[in-house]
Amino acid sequence: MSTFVKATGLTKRYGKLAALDRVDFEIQEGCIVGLIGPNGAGKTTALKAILGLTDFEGGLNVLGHDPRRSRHELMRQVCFIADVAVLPRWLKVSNAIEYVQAVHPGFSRERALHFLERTKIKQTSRVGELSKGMVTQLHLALIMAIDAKLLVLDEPTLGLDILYRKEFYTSLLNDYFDAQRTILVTTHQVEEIEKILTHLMFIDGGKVTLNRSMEEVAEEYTEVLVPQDKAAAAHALKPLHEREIFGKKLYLFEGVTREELAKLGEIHTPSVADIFVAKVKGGMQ
Amino acid sequence: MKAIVTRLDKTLVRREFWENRSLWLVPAVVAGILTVLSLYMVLAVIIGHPQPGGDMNGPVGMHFSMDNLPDFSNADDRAVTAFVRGSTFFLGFIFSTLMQIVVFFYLIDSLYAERRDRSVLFWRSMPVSDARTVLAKLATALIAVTVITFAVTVAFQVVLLVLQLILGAYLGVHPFVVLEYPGAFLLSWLLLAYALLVKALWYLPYYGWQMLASSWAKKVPFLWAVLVPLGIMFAEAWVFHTGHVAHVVFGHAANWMRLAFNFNPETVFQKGGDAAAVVDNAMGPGNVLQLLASPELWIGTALAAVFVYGAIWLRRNRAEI
Repeated sequence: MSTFVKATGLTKRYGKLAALDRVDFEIQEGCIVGLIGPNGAGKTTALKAILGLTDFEGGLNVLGHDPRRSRHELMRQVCFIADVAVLPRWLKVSNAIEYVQAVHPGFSRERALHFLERTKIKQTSRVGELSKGMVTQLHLALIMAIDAKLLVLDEPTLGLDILYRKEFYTSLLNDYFDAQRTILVTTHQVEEIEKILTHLMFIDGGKVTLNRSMEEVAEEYTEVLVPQDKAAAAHALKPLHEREIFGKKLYLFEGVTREELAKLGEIHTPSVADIFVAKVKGGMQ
Repeated sequence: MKAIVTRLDKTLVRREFWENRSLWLVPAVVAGILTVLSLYMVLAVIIGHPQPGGDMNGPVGMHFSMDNLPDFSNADDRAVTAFVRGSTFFLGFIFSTLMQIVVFFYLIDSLYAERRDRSVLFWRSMPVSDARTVLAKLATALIAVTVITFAVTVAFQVVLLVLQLILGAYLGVHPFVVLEYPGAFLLSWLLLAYALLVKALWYLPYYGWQMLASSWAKKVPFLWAVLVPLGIMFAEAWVFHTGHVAHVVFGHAANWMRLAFNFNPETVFQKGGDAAAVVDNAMGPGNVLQLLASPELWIGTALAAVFVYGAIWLRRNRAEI
């Protein structure tokens, strides 16, 4: 398994504000990495740095390239979908296919047409005539027809209704993802992607606050529903986060074994959203 | 070695035509309208006057007189050449001026529109360098538009010729003498191609500037493209009471004709003398070496290189609005 992205001391400053502050992380081949963080945490800056869309300090190696220097060479291996509607309104579907076919050596026209056949998109339509959901379907069809190593998705389902959102990730998993590819995705709708993630990365205040595989996350984070009489015992184990639910206390623990916590009450695996809230709130205190 | 211009570059230029349909639509529509108008005139003359010859009344009260029609019955080689050249250059002037306006609006939008609708994120997610993209846009203005201008001018001139032949035949004038000198057409089209090519090269600094404004502006690139040079001119006039910048900027636009041809407005518009010879001489190829050796051409080209480099740099480093 090779390393696709390696950041060492990655820093990006806007004036005095550091959007990324000496960040280190690695992203491996064959992973689906969820990059989660509050607004302004540095997610988009990190993606832009990886895609060669912004300058930065520190080291960043993406598939053997320095993205600052060789963006266009890197883009043979890397695909990118930003939030919807970056396809221009005047572009005809047939022209979009023709364009990508001419500029991208890894593009398969047959595959793109195959994906488009499953939609209601006509080749003669212009992007401006399509619904938001269809524009995303078109963009996804173009991107999935490219034989690339790293796919970067920045809020790809923003503003789409639930049918399109479900279908987006389903086709990504079924028709695109395999052990030689890596998908890096940011979204606010964490619950939609947590089932498909293999790795989770939290970014907050310009720092990476968590970077684990989902198995590690499941092992390390446990939620316990504790009756009031055991609350003090739970408190002694220093929970990351607590909230009240139906007169009981719900505690979230980091790095405490499940055996130990099972004595306190009913244990669950917390959702990514719960862990996220706990970690970010912890950081705020 | 790889070819310098590849299929990729052709697609990049085609892309410009998908986005900017005015690049071919405007000249096509204008040529179409002019063709219809010419046809109308010819038909109106023929239908309005079943009896050929003599004076006749044209449409909307126009008065035609045989004296006003060029008489080719006893024209010689030189007169035909001058007539063909004159009409080629007149039409070339009309269409290239039209395309100048179209290109101006094309270029000031060329690197701005993609940032306004954020599609730059899509284009830059493809393995095409910023330099290549920007140069493809420049090549569209420089080469593709020159080819279109040439094609439209020649096509429309042929249409006019056919109409003239029809009208001439009807009126009993013998215009076919024009066809006896096909060389006159070939040579005048060669000169037209040369003129359009020189003009395109000569206008490079304007094109470069328009692209730089387009990649720089956060809104209304038109104002940046126009107001910055105007501002510098007014500042100069106000502070130094001179007009060097204005002289250079506006003067440059016309200087190429003097160098590329023997064109001298004073001699061309002089009355009397051998008109055919004057036209023939003025629209001869001029001194090509003198043109290529003129510092003005190369300073302009160097300036254009700086502007275009700036546009590429801005797209690479500051692509988002």
